[in-house]
Amino acid sequence: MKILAVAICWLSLASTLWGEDPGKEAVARLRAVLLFGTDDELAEVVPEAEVSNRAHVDRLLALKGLEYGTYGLLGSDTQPVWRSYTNWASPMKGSEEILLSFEPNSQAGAAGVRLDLELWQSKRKVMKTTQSLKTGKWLYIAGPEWRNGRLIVGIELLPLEGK
Amino acid sequence: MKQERKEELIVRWMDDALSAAEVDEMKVILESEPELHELRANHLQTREELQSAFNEIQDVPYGDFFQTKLDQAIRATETPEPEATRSRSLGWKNSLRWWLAPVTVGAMAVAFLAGTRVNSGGTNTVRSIVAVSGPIVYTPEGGVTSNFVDAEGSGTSVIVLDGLPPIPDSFNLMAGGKSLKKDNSEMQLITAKTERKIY
Repeated sequence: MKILAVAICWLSLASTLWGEDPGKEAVARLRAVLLFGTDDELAEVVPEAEVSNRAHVDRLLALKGLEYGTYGLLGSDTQPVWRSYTNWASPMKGSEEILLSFEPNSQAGAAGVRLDLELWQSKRKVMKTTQSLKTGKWLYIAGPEWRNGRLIVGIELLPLEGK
Repeated sequence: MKQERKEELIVRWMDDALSAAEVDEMKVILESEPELHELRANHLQTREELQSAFNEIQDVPYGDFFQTKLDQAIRATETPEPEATRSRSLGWKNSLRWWLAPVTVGAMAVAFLAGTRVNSGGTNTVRSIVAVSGPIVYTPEGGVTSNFVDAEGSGTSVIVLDGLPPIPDSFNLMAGGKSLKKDNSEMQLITAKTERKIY
């Protein structure tokens, strides 16, 4: 009986501590999209992919070296940015081929936050950087080639829901 | 004729080093063993080829100068140091040893005083922050290069990674690629939980 009581006390204490962990508080949201730039017919190369929206196309065409005839949207994922924990975004749901990890490197404000970003390909870290992201501004990472095109990871900082 | 004498004559004949008397002895040998002519011809040809393959011995440029300097250096190491010079050197080192302790203590005292003055500033201490222009992109994989482009005005920026291994065309990323889970369940991707308490 005593053992059961002690166990219940420990469980309640642990749950209380975890619930009050300030590091787990979400300070922003991060949207990661996986785009596919190709000069071939998107419907033939990746039939299941939908064409990316015009905003991405305009932004990417303005960047030298990323001009492609068509941009497909392969996947999207939105995850919270925790105050002091690393979180992951997997724009290809169900796949770990392309992953993005992110963790705040500064105090999050209304204008943005500085993030430690890591790009993972095939479970190997291929890039690490620290970037100041502003709400509504996009950061693109031109990644590996695939099917005669190129995979491009788009990152956008979003405010918390309801703010 | 003894075998040793015969071999000596043949070797000297091969090198054109026979005397007049030895030539007569060699003629007798050659009459009984005419195949030695062919061996000698091959020997001479091989010698000419070796001599043509290597450069002639050349003198080292400025050899006299370097030889003179080497001789001077050797003489300097062999010449014993005068007793007077050695004693002066030892005396100077001894005096330095006596001065070393008080000078060290004095330096420590000055450093301690300087430290107390700096710390007495309290919260008003100003720390310089070095601003780094442009983000640093680290690519652990060998052969991977990065290029950061910031499109001025639009706020859009891009990191171009070149040299990454291409994803095989056979991978169907839309179907989850090689990492597709059979049950299609949510992935638990949180792996790092190192809390930062800096801010």
